[in-house]
Amino acid sequence: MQLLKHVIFDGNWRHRLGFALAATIATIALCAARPTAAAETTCKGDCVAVGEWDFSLSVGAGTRTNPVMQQDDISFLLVPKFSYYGKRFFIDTYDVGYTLFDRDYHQFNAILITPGFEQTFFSDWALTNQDIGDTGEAHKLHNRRLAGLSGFEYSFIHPYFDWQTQVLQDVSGAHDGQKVRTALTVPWFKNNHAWQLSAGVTWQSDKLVDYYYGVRSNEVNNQDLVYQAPAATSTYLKAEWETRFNKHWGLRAVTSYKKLGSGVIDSPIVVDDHVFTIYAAGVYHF
Amino acid sequence: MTMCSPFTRRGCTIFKLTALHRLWPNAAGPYAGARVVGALALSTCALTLANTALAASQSNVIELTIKPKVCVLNNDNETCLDELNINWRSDNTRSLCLYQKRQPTPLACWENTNKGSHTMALNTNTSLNFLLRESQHDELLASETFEVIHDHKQYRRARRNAWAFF
Repeated sequence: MQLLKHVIFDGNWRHRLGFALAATIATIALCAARPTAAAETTCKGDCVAVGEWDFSLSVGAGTRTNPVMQQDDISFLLVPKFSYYGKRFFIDTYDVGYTLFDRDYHQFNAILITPGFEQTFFSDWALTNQDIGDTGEAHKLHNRRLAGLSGFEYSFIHPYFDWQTQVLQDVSGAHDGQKVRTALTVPWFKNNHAWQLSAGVTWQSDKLVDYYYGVRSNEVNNQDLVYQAPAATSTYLKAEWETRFNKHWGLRAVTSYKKLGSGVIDSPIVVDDHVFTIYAAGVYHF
Repeated sequence: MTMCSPFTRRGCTIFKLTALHRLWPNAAGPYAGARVVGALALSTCALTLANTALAASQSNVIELTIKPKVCVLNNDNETCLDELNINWRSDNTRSLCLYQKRQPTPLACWENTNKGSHTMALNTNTSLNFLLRESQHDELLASETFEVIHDHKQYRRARRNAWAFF
């Protein structure tokens, strides 16, 4: 919800987002103008109708722990999901992209924009230098803004597993950092129950980690408290389950465990070394 | 996969599914995946269990049944290719002929019997009407339609998203 609030109401963000989108779309349009075999997919069981919206709303309860000092855990009650697929263009909830190649085991997408969810840990940000042990004049630590990332995504889609990799760059000017992540997902479906297990690794550049978890020299009086964060690599495990009772109603549950990288854990504003998420809900499909 | 269908008022539609390699569409859920595959894989598709055309004539009832009854075509399947079974049954013996509408020559005729069946190869992209007429007076006793539905929706493979917020 905090994420939506930023996307909708932050005028500066909208301006940057518009610029980033325009630049990326122009680049993609040049690529797409070439006669490539892009969207001749061979979907089997994982197809979506072109030109149609799909909406669902999860109504349930869940939480995500917050590793940042004095920040509340994130509660989830209502979780919307939506998607729209054109022949190549797609909106997948918070991600906007363009499919450059989709055939057999391979799918290659340009990610026009995807939010950097690191900001969700700083939604009620009021931390000062005194909170991390500084003395003297109080300074509020710098605001952490929501970043918008663009890049590319490759998926190797095997009947029994997916392997997906993203290379992303901040295009919103929040931190100018990069993120590279890769994940292996094993799905299976039995008796109207769909399961999915994922394991992945995320590398975040020093600029990105420092923006969210660093402490700048002008924010503290005691310079020993300055923290210039290095790049960090985190790992995660995720399990999802979903079932459908009828056309509209179903159940869904998700849990994940993310081990933060040392560059994040070593930050003076971080008090935990992991993020745990659990959520269970009834799902209404519109 | 068998599911009740709006295409058949008193029966069920049988979808021929291709091998389901995957049933985990990102946003739509497993039912939608099956639904989409069903639509994609429909080349010949419908079986009516008890879809009957009833006609009252000479105070007797004639039951005319065809199966399959419905075919859904999409961009990948331009023609319905299948074998159509047409059956009729009456309480009394009759002399009847089966016609395809707008065809002067009967597909089959029967003399003094209370039931009959006819099998024909289907190769069509339009609906076909079948008429059962009494031989002597050419009276229409029953009719039934093999319905061809055009589904021009396009489909594509859903995107994977291992990092979905949820």
